[in-house]
Amino acid sequence: MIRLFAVAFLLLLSMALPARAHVVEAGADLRVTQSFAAGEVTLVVAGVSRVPASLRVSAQAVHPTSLRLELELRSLTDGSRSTGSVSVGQSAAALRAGHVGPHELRVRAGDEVSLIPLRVLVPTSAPWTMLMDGAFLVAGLLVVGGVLAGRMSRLVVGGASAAASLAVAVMLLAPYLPAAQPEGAAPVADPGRPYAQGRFSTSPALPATGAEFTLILRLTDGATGRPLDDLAVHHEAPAHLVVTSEGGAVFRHVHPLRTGPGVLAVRLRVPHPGRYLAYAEIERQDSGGQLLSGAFEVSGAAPPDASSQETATPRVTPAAPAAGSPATIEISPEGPIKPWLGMPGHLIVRSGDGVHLAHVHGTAAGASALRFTLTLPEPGRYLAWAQYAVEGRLVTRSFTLEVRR
Amino acid sequence: MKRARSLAAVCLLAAGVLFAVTSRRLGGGPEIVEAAGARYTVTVLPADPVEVRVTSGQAETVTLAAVMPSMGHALPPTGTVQAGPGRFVAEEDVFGMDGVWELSITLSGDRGEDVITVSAVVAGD
Repeated sequence: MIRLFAVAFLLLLSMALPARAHVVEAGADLRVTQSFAAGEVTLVVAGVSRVPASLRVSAQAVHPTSLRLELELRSLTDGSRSTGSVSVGQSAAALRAGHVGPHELRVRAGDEVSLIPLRVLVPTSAPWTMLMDGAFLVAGLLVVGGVLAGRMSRLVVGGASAAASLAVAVMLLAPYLPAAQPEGAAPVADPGRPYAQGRFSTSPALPATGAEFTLILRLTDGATGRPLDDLAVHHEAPAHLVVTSEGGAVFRHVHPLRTGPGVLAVRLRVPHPGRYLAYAEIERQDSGGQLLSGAFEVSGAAPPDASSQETATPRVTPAAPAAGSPATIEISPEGPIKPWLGMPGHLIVRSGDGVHLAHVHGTAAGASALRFTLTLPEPGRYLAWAQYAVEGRLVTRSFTLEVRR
Repeated sequence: MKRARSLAAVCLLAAGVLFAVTSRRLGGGPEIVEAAGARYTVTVLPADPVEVRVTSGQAETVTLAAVMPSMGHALPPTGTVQAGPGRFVAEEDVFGMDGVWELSITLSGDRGEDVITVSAVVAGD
């Protein structure tokens, strides 16, 4: 019973833990999605239970691609390096991790480089756990030994009782003792960090319609103004970037590369000129999520075709959603869905003026339906994009929602 | 009587072990932090006055900037004086309070400029 309480207590504690950094630890893969110009790749770094170890890094993608990635793991403790390469969908590369603690994984695809910080952790057990186990062992050995020898002297009985009471005492105290930190873990700070500030820019400064350009997001700490370089991986990426044209004809959901401390960059190409709105969802370590927004202009002439987006006709309940009340949106994908970014489906909803942006995750409703429920704050026309992975491709379907008062 | 005495002895011993282990984990002096940048490697003792030892590369100047990320405050950068080959000691104290600090160490020397950031727990002694 006590153990049950202790386990429940520890579970509650672990649920309350804030966002963690890019951590590689036993029993859990680190998955980091990155949008390269040649395609989007999810790097999967398998956890290790001891060091030195070979860190297995593989690459997955929704779209089958022949993209090859050059990898270099550098220790931020002693500077040691290990290199390898991996192709999407092929066997994993084995990089040598000599010790626990902070590392940087450099991923090169063509002329693009992403520097992914990660921390190798190895589990340790708290000394009191060892003390408890040892005391139980001693008690057990004394009792079994006494029974086998047919002699239950006072010393044996006394020793066994003492060991058993010690073990029980430690077990009762365990929930109040600090849990063991894995070896290599970052120092634990008070939860909560200042807000982030983000400044979007493009290179070249005025991109042209149809031509490749780089969208850059520079992150700084809202308090000190220093480069912000402590992003936690959430939903399989350090940052989720949504770019929409003001009128909604163009939509991108990408995962920028970290090119340096506090600098995220992604290469884009858009088919329409005009004003674009950019939103970055990020989460600082030991903090909650936040949304940064900005805008940029694209020059050029409008192409003859109005829109190249696939559209959806969702079932909305209630049929005329009201502001401030939950609405459920049901989409029928073309086939069995596969998780993308750890979720069966994503719905991104933007208000016409761009002030409101929601990113809601869907649940599978039966074999062939995705269901999203969200509440929109104000009446008006909202632009919506549903995203899911099906039949080896990422599908994005757009529609609009009219929200009444 | 004898049994009670031996029981008490075992309990005292266990309490002593627990106390020793706990005090060693919770107290104790600061731990030396080893860190590698792209060009230099250093060891840092995160206690005032901060001492940076450059273990790889020939640094000429070393400056320090301390920040407490969760508190949202930064201190003005401080210079160091060279106290020996590869040994740089901060000109001013930086750790004004206990907690988790981030120390950015800017080095310049034979391998160019490099910034190495380390995190450390600073606890009162």
